Formats: sequence, C-alpha cells, structure tokens
Amino acid sequence: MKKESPTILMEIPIKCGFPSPAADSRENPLDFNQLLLKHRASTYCLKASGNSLEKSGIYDGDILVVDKSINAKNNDLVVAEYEGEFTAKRLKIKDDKIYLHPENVDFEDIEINNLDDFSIFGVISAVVRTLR
Amino acid sequence: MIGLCDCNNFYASCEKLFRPDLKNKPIIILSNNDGCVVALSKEAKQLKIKRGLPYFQCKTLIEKNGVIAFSSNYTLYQDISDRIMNRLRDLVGLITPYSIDEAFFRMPYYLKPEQIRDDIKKNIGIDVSIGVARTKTLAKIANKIGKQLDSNCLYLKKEWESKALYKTKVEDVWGIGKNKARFLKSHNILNAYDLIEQNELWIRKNLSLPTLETMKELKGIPCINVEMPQTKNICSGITFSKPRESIEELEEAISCHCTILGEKLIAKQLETKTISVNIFTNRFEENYIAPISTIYLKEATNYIPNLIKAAKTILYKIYAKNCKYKGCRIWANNLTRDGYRQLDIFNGEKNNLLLEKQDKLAKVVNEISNTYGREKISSAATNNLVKNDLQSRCNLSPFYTTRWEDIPKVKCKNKYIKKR
Repeated sequence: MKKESPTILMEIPIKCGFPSPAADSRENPLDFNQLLLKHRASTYCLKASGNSLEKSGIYDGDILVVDKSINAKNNDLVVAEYEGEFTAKRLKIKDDKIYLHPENVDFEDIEINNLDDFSIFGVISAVVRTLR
Repeated sequence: MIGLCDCNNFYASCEKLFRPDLKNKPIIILSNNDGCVVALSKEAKQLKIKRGLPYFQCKTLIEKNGVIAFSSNYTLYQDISDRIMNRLRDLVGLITPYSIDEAFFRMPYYLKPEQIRDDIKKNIGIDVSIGVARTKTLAKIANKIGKQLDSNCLYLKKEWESKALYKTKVEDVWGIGKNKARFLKSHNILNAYDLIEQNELWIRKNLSLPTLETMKELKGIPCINVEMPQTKNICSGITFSKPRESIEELEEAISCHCTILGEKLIAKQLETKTISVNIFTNRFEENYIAPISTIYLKEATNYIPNLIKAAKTILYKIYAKNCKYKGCRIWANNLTRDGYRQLDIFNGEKNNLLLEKQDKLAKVVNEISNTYGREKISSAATNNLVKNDLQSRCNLSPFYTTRWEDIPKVKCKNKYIKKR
C-alpha cells in the first residue's frame, strides 16, 4: 500500500452561492419532432419531384411529411397511389365524388372513377425545406 | 382473451409499401447473399414458388412469370415492425412481441379484431391477421384459420374450439416440432383434437413438460408465458459467392460474421458464454468436410473484439489447407441476459475496469453505426468482406425509412388532360 494518499471517508459537496432564480422555470428547448412528427409510427417522409404544386408552396426536392393517421378531407394535400405511382395532389370531394385537383389552371381536375387504381397513401401534414 | 397479431407476407408487404407499381405483382425476397427464397408475396405463393428453394432452382419459373426478386432489406423490415408494434401498443396496451411480425396481447373488451386490422392497415400500411382465443396456443390456431378467411380475423369462441382443433394438424400446433410430430403421428395422434384426448401422464412420460403445457393450452388453460422468446442460440453465417481457400479469407469472413452476431446479441440484450465456428466445403462434391468446434469463454460477453478473438482461435484449430470452402457459420450458445453476467472471481477489480472500457467502446461504435450507417465502422479484421458481400445483394431496395438519401419520391407533375 502506498502511504501518500489520504483516506477519504466520505465526499459531501458543500453548497455555496445563491440558487438560480430561473431554475424552477426551466422548460425543454424547442423540439422539431414535436412540430413535425405528431404521430411517429404512422408518419413517413417522401421527396417531392416536380413543380406542379408550387402554388401550394411545395417545390421540387422538398421533403413531404406524410401522416397516414389523418383522415383526408376536402382540400387536403395528399400523396395518392394512382395508376401505379405516387402522386401529390390536392384532394377535392364534391357530391361524394373524388377529384385530384392540379394547381395549374391549364389542367383539368381528374375524377376518380376506378377505386381499384386509386388509394390515398396519406395526408401531407408538413413540408421541410433546407436552404443551405 | 389473448390476441395474436401477425403480419401477412410481412417482408413482401414491406417491399411493396413504397412501390405502388408492384401492387398485385408476384415478388420474392432472397436470403443474405441472394442464396434462396425466404419470403413471398401472395401472388408468388400462387405460382407455387416455395420458401427455402434455392434461387437458381426457381429462376426459370421466376423469369417466365415476371416475378421480381429482392435481396432481404432487414433495416426496412425492422423499422416497419417497430412502427407496427408501437401502434399496436397504443391500441391495446401491453404487448409481447414474439417475432419481427407477430405479437401477443390481451384483447381489450372494447375492441373487435377487425378494428385492429383496419387501424394497422390505415396507419402503417401493412395487412395483418388477428386471432383471438382463450390461450396463446389457441390464438395461434385462430390466427392461422383467420388467415384463410376474407376478413383475416377470427375470434375463436370456446364452443368452436373443438372444431378448430379437429381441423389443425398436430405438426401445425405451436410448440410441436418435427420430431414430436413424428412421434405423435406414429401413435395415431394426427390432429390437435387427438392430442387433448390423450392421458396427461402419458404425454409427460413420453414427451416433455413443454408438450404437456401445449396440451393444457389447447384445452383452454393458459400456462405458457411468453415474456420475449427465449432465444436459445443465435447464428450468423454465409455461403460465399466464390469458394475461399486461404485462412486469411476465412478469417475475414469469420470476423465479419462475429460482428453481425455481436450486433444481434446487443440488440437482444444478451451475452454468450460459448462460441462455435463451422466452416464447410460443397456438400455435393468429393472430400466434403465441415469441421466444427466450440470454445467456452471465461465470461459471458457480447463485446465484438472478444467474439472475433475466440472465433479466430477456433478457426486456426479446425482449418485444413487446400480445401475449397463454401461458407462459414458462427453460433453463440449458452445465452444470458447482459448485466447479469457472472464475473470471473479471480480478477475482480481489474476486470471491472476493463469491462467498463469495453462497454464504453461498444456504445460509441453502436452510436456511429446508428448515425452514419452500419458499414462505416467495423473491426479492422473485417476489412473487405463486408463490401464484397454487400455487392452480391444486388436487388436490395432503398432504406426508405431510415436514410434521408433513400426516401421514396412522389411525382408532382401534371401529365393528365389539358384544358381545351
């Protein structure tokens, strides 16, 4: 046994100074998941490809946060499976009929007649775009 | 009542989730290194392609019918599985996951099986079957029968049980393996109903306690407690794309699979006390050899460098020159929960420090692979193999849900009718 080191019986921190007056008011910092991921299990991220939704603020390359737990209603932006591919469109429901509405005025609404070839993958609940 | 939620054609459903173009198309999933078929979609099953078939054997059938083959993408399957389990937990409270695509739970009185089925389909996008019955073993049977119904659901009431048992072959009963089934059949016990008719003492005497428990469960007496499947051993291995001869090449393969094995152990919070290594040549060629040996470790571990060290020791013992090795396998037997390890009593203090250091290193490595991808960091002993073998997984789908660069694309294009 070496003899130099003193024996420590117990370590007790000695409190000094004035406690922070703000300690009781501390909150968690902002969490983006709280904002963007309301339903974690049913949210998928997809990437927008094309510029047909620019009027709704969705640009080529944007990340679409798609929440499958939300029930789609009239005027929602949705990701749909249509004719074997994913497409992002505004949903219109008029007189029990479903339409996919392109934002571009040059194009007509698409009426969905055949439900075998159409389903809603999920509602776009947020768009994420990083600038640099 | 006990419920069992089981995903339909799980791996195939995951692959189809982000591929609307593959709806109603036959697809198959191949094992590591694309060796054989491990999973099929409903459409592929109808083509009579079978699980376990070597890929080359069904290649003509695949090409003729336009079947699409995928390499197994366990990263994707695990993520989707986690989502399903979490959603199920929100719905029914406590669940007991039994495998990547199955979980038991207590069926809440306010829910119908169909509601759970629809909820998972809507929220996650995967089809599931729900079986509900008085015990876990009966829930398994209910689930299996349910899968054949249009609803994919079966609430097995007590008065229907004997009919269900009558329809269930003894080898299809949960917990009855091949050997037990063969024995039972030789005594003219053909279906589950025959089994519960037997004398309990006879079962206890001629089979085992677990079989007796199975029998009681079939009678509606709950006695199997699945707290997490009791993993008996974990294995990792590979069939090489080209035969390997030199010990260096084998060392590399062994190290790589020790890493995978270690990761599996860590994920399951297990440690192993023994390591077995097996290398083998082609079974259909002359001079077939498949040496195997086991080492007992001083202490249970899941620390990858220790696993590699032990496995290499075995390799040096069993390796013979001038053989064309077709593959290797590594097992961890004798598993214990980590944190419960029994320390080597002769090296107490020093060992604790070492273990602490190892834990720290393992944690950092784990964090790096979680953040930057699995192949970014590995033991130096594994250098080239990981890359080589990843290349042979040539039909691997993107990691749609776990990597930003892989997320699926959505078309935002107007290709439909222009206004006149």
